[in-house]
Amino acid sequence: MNSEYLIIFFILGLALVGGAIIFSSLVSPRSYNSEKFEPYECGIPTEGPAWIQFRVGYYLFAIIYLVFDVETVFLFPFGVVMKSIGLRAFIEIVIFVFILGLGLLYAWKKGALKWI
Amino acid sequence: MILDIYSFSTLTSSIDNSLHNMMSPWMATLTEFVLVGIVFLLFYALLGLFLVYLERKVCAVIQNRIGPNRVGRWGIFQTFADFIKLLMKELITIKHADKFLFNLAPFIVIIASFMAMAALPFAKGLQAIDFNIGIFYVIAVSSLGVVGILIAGWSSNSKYSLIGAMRSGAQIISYELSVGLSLLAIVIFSGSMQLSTIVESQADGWWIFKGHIPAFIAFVLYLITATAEINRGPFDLAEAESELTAGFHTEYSGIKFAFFFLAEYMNMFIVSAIAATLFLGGWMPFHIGGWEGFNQIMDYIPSILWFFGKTFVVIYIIMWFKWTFPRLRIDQMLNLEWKYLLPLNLMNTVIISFVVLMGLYFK
Amino acid sequence: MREKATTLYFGPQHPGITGNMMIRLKVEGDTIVKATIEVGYLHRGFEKLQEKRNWLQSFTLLCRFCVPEPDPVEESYARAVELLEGREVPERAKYIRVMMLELARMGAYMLWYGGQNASLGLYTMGQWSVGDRNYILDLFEELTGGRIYHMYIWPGGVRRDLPEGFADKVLRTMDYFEKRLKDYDDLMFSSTIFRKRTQGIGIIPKEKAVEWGVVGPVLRGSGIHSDIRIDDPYEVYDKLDFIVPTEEGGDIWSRALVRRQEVRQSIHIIRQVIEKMPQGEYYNRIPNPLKWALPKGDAYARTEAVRGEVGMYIVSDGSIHPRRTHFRGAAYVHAITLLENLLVGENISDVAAIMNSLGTCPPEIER
Repeated sequence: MNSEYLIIFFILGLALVGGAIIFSSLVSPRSYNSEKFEPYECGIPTEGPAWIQFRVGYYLFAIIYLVFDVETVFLFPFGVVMKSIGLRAFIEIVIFVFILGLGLLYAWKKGALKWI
Repeated sequence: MILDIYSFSTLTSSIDNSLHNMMSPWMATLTEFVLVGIVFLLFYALLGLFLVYLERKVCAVIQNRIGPNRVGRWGIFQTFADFIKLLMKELITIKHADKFLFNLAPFIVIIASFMAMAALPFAKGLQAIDFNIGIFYVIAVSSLGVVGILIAGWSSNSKYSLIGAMRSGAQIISYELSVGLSLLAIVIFSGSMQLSTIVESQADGWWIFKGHIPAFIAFVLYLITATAEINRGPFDLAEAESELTAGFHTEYSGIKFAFFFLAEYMNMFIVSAIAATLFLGGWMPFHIGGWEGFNQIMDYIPSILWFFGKTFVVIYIIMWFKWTFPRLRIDQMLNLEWKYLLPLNLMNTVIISFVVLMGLYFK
Repeated sequence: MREKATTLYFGPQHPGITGNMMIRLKVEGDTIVKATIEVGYLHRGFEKLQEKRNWLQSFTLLCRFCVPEPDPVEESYARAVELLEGREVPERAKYIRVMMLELARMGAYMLWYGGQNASLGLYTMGQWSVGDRNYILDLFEELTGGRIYHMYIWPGGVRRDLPEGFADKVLRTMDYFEKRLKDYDDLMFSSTIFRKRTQGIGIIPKEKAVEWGVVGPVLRGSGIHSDIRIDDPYEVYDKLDFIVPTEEGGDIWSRALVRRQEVRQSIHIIRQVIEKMPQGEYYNRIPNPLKWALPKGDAYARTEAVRGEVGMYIVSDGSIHPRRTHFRGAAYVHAITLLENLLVGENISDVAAIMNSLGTCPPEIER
C-alpha cells in the first residue's frame, strides 16, 4: 500500500475524537454552577494566574535536546549504509560519536545537566 | 519456511483485485480507504479498551486482588461500561482556559498514536503502509504526542496541570534521544529502516539473539526509555497522582479525559510492537537452528499470533514496571537519561558498528 | 536564577495528603520556599464533648482520635483514670493490653507501609500491606467485636477475656507476618529507586529534633534513643525483652528503617506476651458507670504509639463527669511546626512522602 493511505489515519484520528466529542456533547447533561468551572486546586480558589514564569531548568534541557536530536538524525542514514560501506563508515562514525560525546561532556561540565 | 496459507497478502490482494474488477479504479481505491479506515478504527478502539482491562487485571494479580469481575464474565466488559459512562459525562471547560488549545490537545495525542499505527507490520502481508523509512517515521510521529500533552497542561490554566506539562516536556524530549539511539542498533544490524525488511532479516534468528550482548543492551535500554517516553511506570511524573493530583489532564473531564487515557495505552502498544518487531523478530516464528521438527511446529502458528504474543509479553513487562517501582523525581530522571542512558547508548552504537564491521554477530 | 513565587494549595482534597488538612505552599518553579499548614477541616471538639459525658462514655470519642491506631489513646485514658482512682489492674489484663497495643501498632505500620509507598507512586505495597492488615483486624473482630474501633481497654482491665484458641490464632498470624515482611523488604527496602527517593529528603538534624519536640519513631530516626516503653514503662513492658531501634540519618529512609525494625519487634513482643500470659482475672469491675465518680485531682498517662507519645491528661472535680480532659498527640507537633520547617527547600514531589514519613494524622491534630 502507498503512503497516500496516511491521510486515512489522520482523518480517522480526527473523526474518532471529533465524533466522540460531538456525540458526548449531545447526550451529556449540563448544569451550571459557578464553582464548577474553577481550576482544580484541592478545593481552594486559585491565587494568582497559573501561567507563571517557570523554572528555567526545564527549558535548558529542551535546548540541549534540540542540539542532540539533530545530531542523532544524522546517525540513521549512516546506520543503513554501515554494512555496505564498511571500515570508512565505521571510522567516520567513531569520530562523529566522539564529537557528540564531547558536546555532552561540555554541557555536563558547564553545569547544564545540573538540576538547580 | 513460513506457510503461505497464513499470509495476509493473498487476502488483501484478492480483495484489491475483486474491488478493481467490480468498479472503477477511483471507486475501488475509495472503498479500500473506507475499509481500511473501519478496520483500523475498530481495532484501535477495541485494543485500547482491552489494554485498559488487561492493565487492571495484571495490576490485580500483582497486588493480590481479583480485579474487575462484575461486568460480564471475568469483568471483560468493565472497560466498555467505563467508556460509555465517560461518554455520557459533561464536558467541562475551565474558566479562563485557552479554549482552542484546550480542545485541540486530545486530537493531537490521538492522531499521533493513530498515525504511528499505520506503519506497524501486524502479520505477514498485513501492514497498512510499508515506508522505506518505517522506523524513523514511527519515532517521528509518536513523539508528536508530547506536543498534545504540553498543550493540554498549559492551556488548562491550572497550576498542577502546568507543572505536569513542564515535567512531561523535559522528560519526553530527553528520552526521545535514547529511544532513537537504541533503535539505531537494529538499523545498523539489518541495514535498513524499512520495517518489513527488518522483519525479513530475522527469519533465521531474532536480533536480540543474533546480535547477542550489544543487541541485548540496546533492548534493555529501549525498554527503559520507551517506558519513560510513554509516561508510564516509574516515570509517570507528568500525572503523578500523589504529587500533582492528575498532572496534565487534571482539568479534563468525560470523553476528553478518556482520550488521554486511551492514547497512553495505545502508545504503550506501539512501543511494545516496535520492540517486538525490531528485537524479537516481529511476526517471525521462533526457530532453533537444527531442530527441524520443532521449527516445523512453530511455523504452524499463524504469524499474527506471533506478533501479538511478543507484543503482549513486552506490554506485560512494561505494566510490571509500573506496579513494582516507586516513581522517580524529576532531577533523578533527567540524570538517569543524560548521565547514564545517553552515554551508554552512544557507546553501544559504536560497539555495534564495530561488531557489524567485523561480522561478529550471528549471520 | 529566581522565578517569581506563586502560591500552590496542597490539600484538603488531594490524593497525596494523609487526611483533611491544607498546606499552602509558596513555590518558585517547583521548589518550595515557604509552607504554611492550615487545619480546621476536621474539628469535632472531642475534649469539650467529654466534659458532658461520664467517665466511661468518653471511649466512643477516644477511639476516633486517630483512626489507624485507636488503642493507645484508650490505653492512655484508661491508665489516667486508674491512676486517679487508684484502681488495681489484674496481671492478665496487663498482658492482654500489651498484646492489643502491639497488634494495633502492627496494624498502623501496615497502613504506613501503604501510605509511604503510595506517596512515591508505588501502589502495590499498599494493596499488599492493607490486605494483610485485615488478618490483624480479623483478630480484633474476634476479640472485641469491632474491626477498627475496639473500646476494649477499659479502666480496671479489659472488656472481655481471650476466646478459646485465640492465642494460637495470634501466633499463626505472627508467623504469617514474619514470612510476609520479607516480601515487603523485597518490594520496598531493596528497591534502589525507593532508597534514592528517600535518602537525604526531609532531614531532621539530631540537635534540632529535641528542640522541635519530635517524638516516637521520627525521633529515633534522628538517632536519639527514646521510647516511653523503655523510659517510663507501663503495663508489663519492663518484663518483656525487646530492643528499640534507632537510625542516624534523620531522613525519610532512616525513619522507614526504624519502622521496618519496629514491626519485627512487635511480633517478638506479641510472642513473648502469649508465652508469659498468666491465668486469672482480666477485669477489676468498675461500679455502675452512671454513678461512678472519680476522686478530686488530676492525672496524666502516656503511651507509645506509632506516631510517638500519646498522652491523656484528665482533671476531676469529684463528679461523674471529667472537669477537663486534654489530649497530647504527636501528630500536632509533627504536622504543624515540623512539617512547615521540613518542606522548605524541597521539591513538590516530596511533600507527600515527607508528610507520610512523619506519621501525620489530621484527625488527631484537631480532635
